[in-house]
Amino acid sequence: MFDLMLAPFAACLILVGIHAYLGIHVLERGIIFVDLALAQLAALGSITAVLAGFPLHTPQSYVFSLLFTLAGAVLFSLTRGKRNGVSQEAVIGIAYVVCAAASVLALERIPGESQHIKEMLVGNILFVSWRQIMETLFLYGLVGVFHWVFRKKIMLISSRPADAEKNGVSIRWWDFLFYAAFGLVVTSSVEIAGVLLVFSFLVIPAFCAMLLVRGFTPRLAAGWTMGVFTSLAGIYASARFDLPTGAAIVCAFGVLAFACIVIASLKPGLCNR
Amino acid sequence: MLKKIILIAAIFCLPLSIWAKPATAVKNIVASSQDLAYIAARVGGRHVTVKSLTSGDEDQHYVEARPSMVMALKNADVFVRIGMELDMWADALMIAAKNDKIMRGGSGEIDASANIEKLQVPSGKIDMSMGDIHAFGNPHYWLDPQNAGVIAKTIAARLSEIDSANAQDYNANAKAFGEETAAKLRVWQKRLEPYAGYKIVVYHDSWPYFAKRFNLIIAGHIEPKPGIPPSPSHIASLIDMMRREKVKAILCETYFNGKTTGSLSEKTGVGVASAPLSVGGVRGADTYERLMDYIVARLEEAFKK
Repeated sequence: MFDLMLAPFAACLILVGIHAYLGIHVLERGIIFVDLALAQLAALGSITAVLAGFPLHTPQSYVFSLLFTLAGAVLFSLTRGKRNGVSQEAVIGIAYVVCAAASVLALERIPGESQHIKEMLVGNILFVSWRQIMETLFLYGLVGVFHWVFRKKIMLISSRPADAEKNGVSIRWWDFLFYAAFGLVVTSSVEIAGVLLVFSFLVIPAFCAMLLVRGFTPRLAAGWTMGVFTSLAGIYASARFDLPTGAAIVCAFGVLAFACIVIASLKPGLCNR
Repeated sequence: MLKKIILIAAIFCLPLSIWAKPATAVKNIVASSQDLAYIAARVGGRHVTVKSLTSGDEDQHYVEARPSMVMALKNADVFVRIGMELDMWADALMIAAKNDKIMRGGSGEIDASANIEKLQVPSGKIDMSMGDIHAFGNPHYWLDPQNAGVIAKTIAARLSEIDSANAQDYNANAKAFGEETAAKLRVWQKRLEPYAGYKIVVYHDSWPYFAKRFNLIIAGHIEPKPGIPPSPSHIASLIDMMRREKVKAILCETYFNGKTTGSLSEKTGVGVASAPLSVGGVRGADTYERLMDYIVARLEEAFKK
């Protein structure tokens, strides 16, 4: 049993590593569902590739899903902030539902491939291979380096966009880069772990960390620690009680979120933003 | 000198003898469905323990993997699967289990469809526009009771190869099961005889083997293409067709939406037979015989409506 659960746990480690970090940005920006929208766009790209005659898992198909993701990045970088009192979250939600519906329409024409395309969105972390883990680690490493090198600009734009504008930073351009890198991460993580699990990795550790501690670095440390131990608990529960692994981990994160909400409300002075 | 030669020869032969030693245990049998588990248990008798990876009311097209499934395959001596691309979900489990005995082409992997006379094998190129088509033909072959005997023979032949000491038992068990099912088949055929040539509508294309055996004609499917839910215009044309062709019953898998079949039945006055595809799919259908009894009884009721 141990060797069976080792690869899923390793996958959880690297997924928590990048998503807990990105999650802090996502919560600061108030774009919680952007991962769903970008993952759905990538899937729609692959479907379009199939319709154009390029099978799944070919370089052409990858280029299609990349182009669709970049189109999403352009859209989201152009719609930043509130307009007439409507937040960007609305644009993200619209992009998600329209892409999902368009996928349904397109899939009806290619039902033979539907199973494989569904797999893009409902990856099963129980079957993750070491090769996949190494490839993903490499990709996340690149994105991590990008974020490390430009951390000051990216953080400034996420938390205080007005100041960034004053300093002459091109918000649109940096937003585009942020969303493009984000799209790269989400597309491969969703294929490994599925949308539910990726959403949990992204939002819940960051949410809990922001409830409990202040400052970027302490929050990142708290998010990583809670993410790793909660993943471990979910994987243990999956092995011990024979539950589908992804769903068990998501529920473990649900317990974590609930616990953090209770703790934060018992100690209201814990973290005043 | 002689001792040395014998010693050297022995050393060289040692790995050979290990290699040549036949694997004799078939103690742990794992099957991908309850039907195959039931038949394998009948064939293996007291020599085996059998475990099914799925329950009887699960749709074999979509199965959620759990760790225990991988563990069961890790410890399996034999894995009996439906094959014909139906239980493809088992492929990832087999890779994760890393058990040489049951790997593709391994001695313990039994494709129960091996000796089945297959229906709906597509001729020519398969087009993605045709729906969720299985390249090797329709995989719901166990719903013809005659095929149950064929499956038992296929399993018995392989078990005998692996565990030759008990070959007699396996073959005798398979024969007994085949005869028992054949006798029951005559009873079922008699019960459905009054309805021979009747037209039925089914939900998914799970029933061609069953329909052929019992002389029923499948006039239409609620799914316009396998795996695709019905559109309003498809339902409308289905209702027209059912009235025109005088369809006498709707046969629907228990795990599909009861609302669609219910409204079809309401609009056309045709009875619905809701039946599981696998042993254990409903309470009481815990053997292959009882499963078939159940399906036949629901159909009789629907025809009488």
